[in-house]
Amino acid sequence: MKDQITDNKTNETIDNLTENVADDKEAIGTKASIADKIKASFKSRKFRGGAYATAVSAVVIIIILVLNIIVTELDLKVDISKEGTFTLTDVTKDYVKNIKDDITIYYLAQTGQEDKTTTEIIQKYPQLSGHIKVEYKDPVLYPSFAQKYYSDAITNNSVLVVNSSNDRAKYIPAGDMIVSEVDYNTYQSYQTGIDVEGQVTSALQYVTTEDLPVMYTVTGHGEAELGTTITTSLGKINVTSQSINTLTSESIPEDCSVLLINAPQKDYSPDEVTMIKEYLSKGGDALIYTDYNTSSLENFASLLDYYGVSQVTGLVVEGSRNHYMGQYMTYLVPDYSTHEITTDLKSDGTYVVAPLSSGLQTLDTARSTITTAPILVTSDEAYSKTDINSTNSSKEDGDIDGPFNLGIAVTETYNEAETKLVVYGSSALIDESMVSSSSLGNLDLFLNSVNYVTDKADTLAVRTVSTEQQYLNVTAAQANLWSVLMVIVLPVIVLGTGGFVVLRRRKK
Amino acid sequence: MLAIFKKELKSYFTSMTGYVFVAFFLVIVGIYYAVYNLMNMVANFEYVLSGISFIFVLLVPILTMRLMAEDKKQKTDQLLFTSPLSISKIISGKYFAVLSVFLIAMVIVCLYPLILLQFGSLSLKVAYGSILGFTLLGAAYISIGLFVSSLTESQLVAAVVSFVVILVTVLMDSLVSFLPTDNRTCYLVFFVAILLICWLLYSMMHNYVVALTIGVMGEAALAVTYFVKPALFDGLLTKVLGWFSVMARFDNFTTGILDLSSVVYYLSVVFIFLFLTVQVIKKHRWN
Repeated sequence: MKDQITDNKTNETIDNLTENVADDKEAIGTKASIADKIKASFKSRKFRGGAYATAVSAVVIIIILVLNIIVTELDLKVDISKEGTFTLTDVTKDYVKNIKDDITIYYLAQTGQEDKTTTEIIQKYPQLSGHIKVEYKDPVLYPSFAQKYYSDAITNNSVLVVNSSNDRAKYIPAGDMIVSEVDYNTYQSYQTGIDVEGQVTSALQYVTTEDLPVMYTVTGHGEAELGTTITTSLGKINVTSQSINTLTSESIPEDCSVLLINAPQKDYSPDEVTMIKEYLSKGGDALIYTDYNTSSLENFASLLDYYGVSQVTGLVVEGSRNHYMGQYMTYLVPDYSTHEITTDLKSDGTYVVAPLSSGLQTLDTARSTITTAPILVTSDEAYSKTDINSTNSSKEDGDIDGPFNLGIAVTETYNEAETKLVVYGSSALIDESMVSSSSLGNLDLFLNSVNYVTDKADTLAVRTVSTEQQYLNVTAAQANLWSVLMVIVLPVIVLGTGGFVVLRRRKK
Repeated sequence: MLAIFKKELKSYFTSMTGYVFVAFFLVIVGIYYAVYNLMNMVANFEYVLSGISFIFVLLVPILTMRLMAEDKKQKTDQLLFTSPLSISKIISGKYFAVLSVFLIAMVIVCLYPLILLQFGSLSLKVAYGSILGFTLLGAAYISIGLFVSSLTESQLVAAVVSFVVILVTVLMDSLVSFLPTDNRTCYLVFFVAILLICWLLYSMMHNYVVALTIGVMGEAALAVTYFVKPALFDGLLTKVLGWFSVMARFDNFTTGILDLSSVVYYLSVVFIFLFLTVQVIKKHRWN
């Protein structure tokens, strides 16, 4: 053994010597080529030892890295969360499986600030269908990327669903994927749930649905124009908005899903009324807003008459203190009748304000195929002021006693075609000043009405996942007892055992 | 291996070290448990574990500093390395001994969620998933500590270096999101990283030809990738560091995802650092 070691040592010294000699030769200036130098560097002992270790380490590390990458790609995950937060529901699974278009879900989040839950859920979609892929786009690096599809400013952590087959896109702001509630004691909102799946799935539904409802707004008779809130909201519920001048049109376009008549100031011609009637009788739907000023438009009134609705002359004034807004007795706050349109407004407890409204009545003379249902009704103390220029707000002679309907839904099923018509007494219901107020239900009333007449099935019902904190029931005494046990008694027992063992060993 | 394992484990429990570790660990877990689950009555045991994940910064150095450094100082390592056992067996024996001390503490912690059951319902799946994640996290950190300990003779240096290394991994997560994400900066960082790797290779092999060849090839590949597809470099730095982040993997477990890749990742960390420790020891033996 010893001999061997000394042998090794002598070998080493000899090696070193020869190396030195080589170095000396170079120093002397004989023309040693670079190739020789390189060769020499591979022969040094230091290199041989180090190279072996380095190569082995490198290979092992690379193998481990590759193994990790493979396992990551396999994406084997088990959702053990209580709510099944990271598992898609069957509603989504069934819907996504049938998607034929190529869809890209862009997750617009700053790198490093991605929301874990959102990421996890979005990544589940491509696993369901080969047509869906997920891409990450950093909105800071690519600020103009989303503008191709969505013109407004985008928020971090939002999602953009793009259907490349038909170039339709839907943007989901980050806030929409969080369900929050406001604590009215502190006026702070806190998160109660997440709705990533619900939003993404309904966006998928939007970008893949074949025919989206188109709303035609009638123009040419001084109809009130729609405000920006209404138009953007229509976009959100996937309704395309168009306008039509009935005077110059031959017929109502075939793709029209809902015809909006917003308080005409001048009368329609009989031909136009015939055209609209024809459209409606074929199963067309309409949303009609009337104006108290114009109850005398004969042809327009005949259209309403045809569907069993008539406008009461004058302006409705509310006598009941609980049914008008502030000091304005003409800013009516009607009651909701039980109807599909008003269900959620009723349950949310939000109010609708109908300013400067005319009363509506259903006609007994209506055809038997027609069914009418009230939507908004005034109180019993309401009356219609026939002299609209009167300066006296209280009830006068000649005023018509209420109650009145302020909104009526009409349906007629004839020859298997269902016509749906919703008539409101005030066009101010959808005035920008009313719909832009988030405390009022006016916008929702409008959107619900559109959804009702267009028979738009609710977006796929995917439940939101509750993230609300769950609590235990621990009494103060129990808490104290267990705290002392855990923090003091248990560690002391462990230390005591240790002390005992160590002491006993020493005594031995 | 078993002999070394037994000897090491015994040494932990015939001295106070093992008991102090377990007791200290239980005190910290106990405090968080009392505050979260008992005082505030929150029905999530995983909050306790994610709250105390910093515990390793303090505990792992204490546990691992003496592992290799002590032997080296007392020169008992010579005895071990001349023994017929292979170095990898010695190292794994030592590692599993320390790991067992930690596991004993974790077994006690396993009872904690059960205690809460008497006060109401809580998700045991997430609770035990987090305990699994926490155990893997600890195992990975202990292996890092063991490696650091093998680099130095002084216990104090070993402790301080492990402390700093683990602290950096804990803080990295929150710092990573502030790193620049544009592809130019990322490219530059990786450019520098390759230079560093070359320097490392050179210092290990003392051969500039290999180091330079690998360096030039690496830089060329990087540059070509960058010019062909710069989008690939968007936020790459954040992504790479995030992928390596020891803590981020643990978050998966506490949010309720049992991810095989995280488990494999932790086991890989354990393996790589044990392997590197063996390499370091072998190098010492040659010298």
